Amino acid sequence: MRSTVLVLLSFLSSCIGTDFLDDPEVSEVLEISPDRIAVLVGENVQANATYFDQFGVARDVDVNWSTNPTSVAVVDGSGLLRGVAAGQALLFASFDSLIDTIRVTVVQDANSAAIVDITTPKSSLALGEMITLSSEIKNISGTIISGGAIAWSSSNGAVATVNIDGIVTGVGSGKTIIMAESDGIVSNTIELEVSGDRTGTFSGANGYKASGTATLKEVDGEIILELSADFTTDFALGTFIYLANNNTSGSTVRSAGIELGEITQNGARTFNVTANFPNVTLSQYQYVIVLCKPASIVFGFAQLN
Amino acid sequence: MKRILFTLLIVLTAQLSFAGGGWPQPKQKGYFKLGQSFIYSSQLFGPQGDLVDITTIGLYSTSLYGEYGFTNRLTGILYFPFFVKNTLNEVQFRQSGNVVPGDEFSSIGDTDIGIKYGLITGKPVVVSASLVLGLPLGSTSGGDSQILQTGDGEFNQIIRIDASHSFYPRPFYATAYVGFNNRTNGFSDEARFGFEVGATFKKFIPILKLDVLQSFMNGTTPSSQNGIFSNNMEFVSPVIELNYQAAERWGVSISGAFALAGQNVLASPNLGFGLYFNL
Repeated sequence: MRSTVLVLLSFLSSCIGTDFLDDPEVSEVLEISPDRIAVLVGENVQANATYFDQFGVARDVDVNWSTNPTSVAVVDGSGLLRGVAAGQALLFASFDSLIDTIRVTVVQDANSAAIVDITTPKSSLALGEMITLSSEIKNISGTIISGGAIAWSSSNGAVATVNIDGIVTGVGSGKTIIMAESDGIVSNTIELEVSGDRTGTFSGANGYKASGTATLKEVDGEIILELSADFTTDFALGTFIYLANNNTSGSTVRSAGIELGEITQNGARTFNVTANFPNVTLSQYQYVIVLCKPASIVFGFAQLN
Repeated sequence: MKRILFTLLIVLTAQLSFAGGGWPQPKQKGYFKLGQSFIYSSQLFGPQGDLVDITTIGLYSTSLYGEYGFTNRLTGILYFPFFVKNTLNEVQFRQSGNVVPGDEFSSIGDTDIGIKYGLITGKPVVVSASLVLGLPLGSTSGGDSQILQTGDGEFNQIIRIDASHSFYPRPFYATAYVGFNNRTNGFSDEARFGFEVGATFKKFIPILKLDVLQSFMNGTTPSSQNGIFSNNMEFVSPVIELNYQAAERWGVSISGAFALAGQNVLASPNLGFGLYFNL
């Protein structure tokens, strides 16, 4: 009798348990920090490299370091870089098949131009949209040097062009790398994405129903998701719309995706993605997900083109 | 001793708590049970009957079930789940350590109240008819996330016919039943049927049951306010129950039920135990 009561009481106090899952797999990455180095001739700067495994988790690994040309800069096995002569060099870090590269500028005196910084107001733009990039030339201590000439370039002119004033125009869907150069010093790089509207057709998942279309587009500088007027789905308490790169695991959608909002009825609906996630770009997510959030069940999804 | 306990957790395979099959309680006699049932599941049968992985859900119900004979033919029935707890596990990712928080919610659950009337008594086959009203006393929105439920918010009206036969002097009995649940608020109506066999071996009373729930799929409710299990649930569920008559008037009971197939129902065993008292 007493034991029965104890067991009964134990269930009364049952609490939340834990489900353990693997993280979603991503591409392995090796990343050097800082992303640019400027150093005086004869001085040392420590570079670091971090390996992010297939789950995106940083791991300590043994990295191979090298520079080219070694007449400008050299590096030892620990990533300690030394300026040899004025000029620019590339610093390489490698691990297995992964490699990362940054530019190194070696200057003779502290007042010389050593760094060219370029910045962008946004990292994605619509077809035909124009944005103006900014640039600054600095010495090794970060003091701005005025008057230097800047030459701009785009790695893919079919995606975006950039003129002598740093004005970028989106001309085709895709990605391009923008960079600048001043007096032989190459700037940091900016990856720009140009795209038109992305659409996808909903289909059901796990035995649930979903139909209609989703359109992800940029309107006045903001990313907007629109569900069509004929959008329909199964519902349960806590049915939410997500953007995600996984369309099978509801828990991964919840963890790695972004939640745009709850839906309670079929039909047209608009979500301002930028309002809550200002750094999201048009191409960042592959799927629009209808998720039953309490049980983490994917009711349906639309794969964006 | 033909005691069946049906514990209707809001969402689950649970078996309604009718005792006695086709036999109503004798006048001023009764059967009362304090029961605990629970289910803990990381899978459900989806709307097409496929197994679907879900964040683990726990449902715990502590209930009082009672039958009392107002006359030799008329029995009052009460199923009162006075403590229902609904939990949703947190999700922890092994490599990154990222955590999706869990949630929990407790309250009174939906309650059944009804009557059973003995249509045919004192014959080799006894037949009773029951009318049970499911009162939506549970909550349809709870927890930090406001997405957990201890009730479905609708008013059940269940009519049921039980027919039983005792094989006396052999210590066996058999019962079959069929029922209809008229549901409000646009929920689909349900057919319920099943049968059970039981035996008495001194103080032990083992019972085997098979319960079937079929939805008419005639609901119209947009279920954005309803749990994933609230509507169009179907299952075929065997039940094993073992009672031990510890004393003249009271005993203990354990039971296990599992949906062999179904729709919109959790795919894990529903276990229960309790203390019963015969008046």
